[in-house]
Amino acid sequence: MKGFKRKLAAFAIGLHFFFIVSVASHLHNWMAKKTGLRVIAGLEDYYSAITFNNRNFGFFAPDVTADWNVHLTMVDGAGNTRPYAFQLPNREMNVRMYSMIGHFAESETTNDLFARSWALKAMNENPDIVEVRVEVTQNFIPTMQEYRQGRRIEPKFLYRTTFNLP
Amino acid sequence: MISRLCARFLNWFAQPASPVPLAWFRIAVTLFCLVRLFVLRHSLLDVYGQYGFVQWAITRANLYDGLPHLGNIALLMGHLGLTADQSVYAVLVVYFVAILALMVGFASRWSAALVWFLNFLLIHAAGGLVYGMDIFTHIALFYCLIMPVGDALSLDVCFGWRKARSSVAAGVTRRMLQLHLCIIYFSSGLEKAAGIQWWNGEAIWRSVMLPSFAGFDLHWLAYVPWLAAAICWSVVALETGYSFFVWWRRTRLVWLGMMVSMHLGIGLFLGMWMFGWIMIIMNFGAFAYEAANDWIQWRAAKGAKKLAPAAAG
Repeated sequence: MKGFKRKLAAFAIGLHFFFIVSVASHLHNWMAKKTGLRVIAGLEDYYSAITFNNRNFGFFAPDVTADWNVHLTMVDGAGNTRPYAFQLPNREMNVRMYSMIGHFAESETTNDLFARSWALKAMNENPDIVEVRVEVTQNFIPTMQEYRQGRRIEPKFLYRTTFNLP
Repeated sequence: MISRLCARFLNWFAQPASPVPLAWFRIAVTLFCLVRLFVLRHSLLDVYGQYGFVQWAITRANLYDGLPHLGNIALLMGHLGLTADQSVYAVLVVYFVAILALMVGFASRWSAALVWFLNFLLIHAAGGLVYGMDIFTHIALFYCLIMPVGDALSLDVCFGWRKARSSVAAGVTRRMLQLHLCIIYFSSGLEKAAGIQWWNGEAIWRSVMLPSFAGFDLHWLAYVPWLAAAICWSVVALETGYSFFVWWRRTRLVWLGMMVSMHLGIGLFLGMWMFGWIMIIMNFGAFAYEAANDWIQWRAAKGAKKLAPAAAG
C-alpha cells in the first residue's frame, strides 16, 4: 500500500511539472494544434483553470502594452448627459482596471461583452438612465527617442458603442 | 550512470525536512489573503459581485464546462432566501473564517482545502479583473493545500492532532515549490528576452510612463536611455539567473536579496505592492530556510576569522 501511494505521488508530481513546463515552453500550443495530442492540451487547460499552476508567466513580456482609458457617458430620459466613473479607491483597483481593459482589448467579441457589462453597471446604479455611450481610447506611449524629440503620450481612438434601453 | 543520477536526484528531492518553514509560509500566505481582503473592502461587489465590473454571465461563459462558479453557489443560497450580493458576502465571510483557521493551524488540511476552493470561486467570479497577484496567491494556496503546513506552529499540534516532526512530505513539497519558482522566473526571463523592448530599455520606460501605473514623474529617463536599458537587462538577468544562482550557497543570499529588491521596486514604481508581496512570500517560503542557514554559517565563519588572529596574537 505504501509503495502504491509513493508511486501515485511520484506520478502526480511528474504530471504537475510536465503541465508547468509544457505551458512555459509553449509545447502546449503545439500540442493543441495536433489532433492526437489535443486531449493532453485540454487536460492542461483544465489543470490551469483549476490550480493556475501552469499559466504563462511572461508578465510584461515580450512587450509592455500601452494602457487604455474608458469613458462612459450616461444619457437620461430628458437627453441630459453626465459621465459615469468606475469607483477605484486605491492603486490596487487601478491595477485591476488595467488588467480588465487588457482583457477587453483581446478581441471584438470581448470588446462588446465588456462594454455591455460596463453599460449595465452604469444603468443599474443610475435608474434614470436610458442610454450609455462607451468609448475606449488607448494611450500611445512615445519611445524614449520620440519623447526627446517632443512627442508626448496621446490617447488614440480604439472602440465606441452605444447601449439603449428598449 | 543514469540510475546513479536518478538515485542522487531522488535522494536530494525526497529528503525529510522540518515543517517549520512551511508553517511560516502558511502564516505569511494567510496574512496576505487577509490584507488582500482589507485592500478590496470598498470594492468587493465591484470585483466579485454578479453585476460588478465584469458580470457573472461573462465570467461563467469563460469558465470550462463542469467547473463550479460563484453563481452556482449563489443559486443554491437563493433557496435559503439570499440574494446574489448576500451570497457573495456569505462566501466572503466563510473565506475570512477559513483563512483565520488556516493561519492558526486549526484543522489545517480542511481549512486549507476550503480556503483554496473559495479562492478558486472568487478568482473566477472576478474574471477579467484578475492579474498576476491573484494567480500567485492561488498557487501559494495550492502549496498550502499539499504541504504539511499544520505540522508546526499550529493548534493541530497543540491539540495532538498532528505531530511536529520532520517528514518526507515536508521536504518534497518544499522542493516542488522551489522548482516551480525557478521555472516561473526562468520562463518569465526568457519571454522578456524575446522582446526587443527588454533589450533597448523601452520596456522599463513604457512601464513607468503608463498613466495607469505612473507613481512618479520619471520622464527624465528618456534622457538617460542607457539607464533604462541597464535596468531592463538586470531584470532579464535576475529572472533567468534565478534558476541557477539561488541553488549556489555563495550567491543565494545575494540573489534572493536582489529579487526582493526587484519586487519592492515594482511595488514602489508601478504601485503593484500586492504582487510584490506575494512574490516575496513565495521566495521566502521556498528558500528562506536555506538562506537563513547560509547567513548563520557566514556569520559563524566571519566570527571564526576574527578570533583566529586574536588567538594567534
